[in-house]
Amino acid sequence: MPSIKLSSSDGEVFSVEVEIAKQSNTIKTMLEDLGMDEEDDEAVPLPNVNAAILKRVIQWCTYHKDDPPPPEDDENKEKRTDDISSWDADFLKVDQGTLFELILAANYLDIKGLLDVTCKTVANMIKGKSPEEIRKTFNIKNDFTQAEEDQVRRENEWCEEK
Amino acid sequence: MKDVVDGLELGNDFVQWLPRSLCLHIFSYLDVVSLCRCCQASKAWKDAADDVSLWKALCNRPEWATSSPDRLFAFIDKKANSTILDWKAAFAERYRIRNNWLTGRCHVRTFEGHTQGVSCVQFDETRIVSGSSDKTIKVWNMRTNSHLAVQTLVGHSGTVRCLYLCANQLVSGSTDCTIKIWDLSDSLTWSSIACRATLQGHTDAVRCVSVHDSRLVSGSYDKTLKVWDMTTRECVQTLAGHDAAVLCVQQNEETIVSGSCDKTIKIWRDGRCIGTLIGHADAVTCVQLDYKRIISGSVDCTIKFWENDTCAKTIDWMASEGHTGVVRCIQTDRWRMVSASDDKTIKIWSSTNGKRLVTLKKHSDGVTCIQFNDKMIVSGSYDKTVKLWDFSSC
Repeated sequence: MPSIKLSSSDGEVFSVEVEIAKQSNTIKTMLEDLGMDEEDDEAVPLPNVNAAILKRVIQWCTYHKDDPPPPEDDENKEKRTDDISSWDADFLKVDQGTLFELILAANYLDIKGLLDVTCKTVANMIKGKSPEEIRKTFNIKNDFTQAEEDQVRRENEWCEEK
Repeated sequence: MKDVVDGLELGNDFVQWLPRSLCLHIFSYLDVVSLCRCCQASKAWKDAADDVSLWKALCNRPEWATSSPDRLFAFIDKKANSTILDWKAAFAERYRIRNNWLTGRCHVRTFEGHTQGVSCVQFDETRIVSGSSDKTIKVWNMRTNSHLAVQTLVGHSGTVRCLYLCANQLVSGSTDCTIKIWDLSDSLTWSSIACRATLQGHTDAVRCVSVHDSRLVSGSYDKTLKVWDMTTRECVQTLAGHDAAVLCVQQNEETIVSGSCDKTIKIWRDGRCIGTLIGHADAVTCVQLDYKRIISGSVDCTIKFWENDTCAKTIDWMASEGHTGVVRCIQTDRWRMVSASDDKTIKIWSSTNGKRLVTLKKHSDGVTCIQFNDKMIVSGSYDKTVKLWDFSSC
């Protein structure tokens, strides 16, 4: 198995099978554009991902290396969030900081499957909660005045009516 | 990137520092209620959750889409005179009306005047037209119940069995074997309405008509369908094949579908019958050409969904709380189906899974005909009345 080296923002170098690394469209494009396909001693620099997160991303990509390519988004369908596999759910039992770092890394590395599942996980943390519970969950400062808050509540009342 | 790192380290609210595109990606997984609650968390959250892209995407989903594509802005109040479309307000309006449909919450108005049962109705933005066994067609002003606003079109010498309204042109078929084309006017004055043409050719009652562009198709008790050119008003084709009276017809660009007393549905293309659907136990009274399917109702009280020339699903009264009388009329759109029956009820169904949503019962006799749009159903009945079921005004 050919492999490549990836260098994290804090200088740690990881050796990864090319096929696993190519789940990242960013890395795939780099390899193709730069002709870095060969066994190369030089590590691909990933200045936006630190070692702790890169390690997790590689772990995710390794587990999902045989997955079929994710389907294109269907605008006509309600996006599901209840279809997260139990492995992914366990994998994403992390603190919020790590979860958002994974979202940023998945976005930077352009790994659709990982980006979708991490965003779904955040969506699931929002779903079913009251505005106050949402504030508590995400450490949001309520910067509405009482009058503004009443106004916004009235504006959004329509969705609560059955 | 520095802001992002600071945001992470401080454990701050992600909407404040995560790139907007990623916030929207997260929010795109939310249901409507959760999205509205996000708006109430803080100013930054309100700004993100009110993003036009999220609401536009919701408006374009099949269950919220309007019935006709050119009426995407159907529920927008034009008085604001703004060129910027408020997609959230548009969605809120669709949400409210759809909930009314799902729960059967509507305001019902009754139009009285026919002296015999009503057999067919059609409507547009301002008026309802109805045909009756009293041999007349009435044009009702939807905005008023005043008797003075009703126009009566006299000319047929038998029951008016079918109508097709398209802009100011009205096509009617009758048991007097003829089809008449009427000019209606926007101005709702007596003098401007006139019968422009009478099409003769069928040798028995004209039971159904359908218009697509300039092509008019009629079905008759004489067992045939006739294709007419609306501009020359001449019969260009006669489709023979049914073994008994033709009761219903529907068409799109290339296909004509007909149902008959011979219990079958026939599919016609280029003047030839290219398929016969067999399965109903009695006469087929109504057909609908869906996007990929054909839906039919019958004297056997069932509604059938046909895919690829075979019956994929049957709705009967026992298994699906369906109709207990003859199914007289059905219409579908992307998410709903409405049916009318001799059992005096109108039923609303999910057209995707065939689940019954609501049963409407206000007519005192069998319901012969219905037509709906995004806001209302108009129905006609043997009880001599026309009813307007308005889902938008409550």
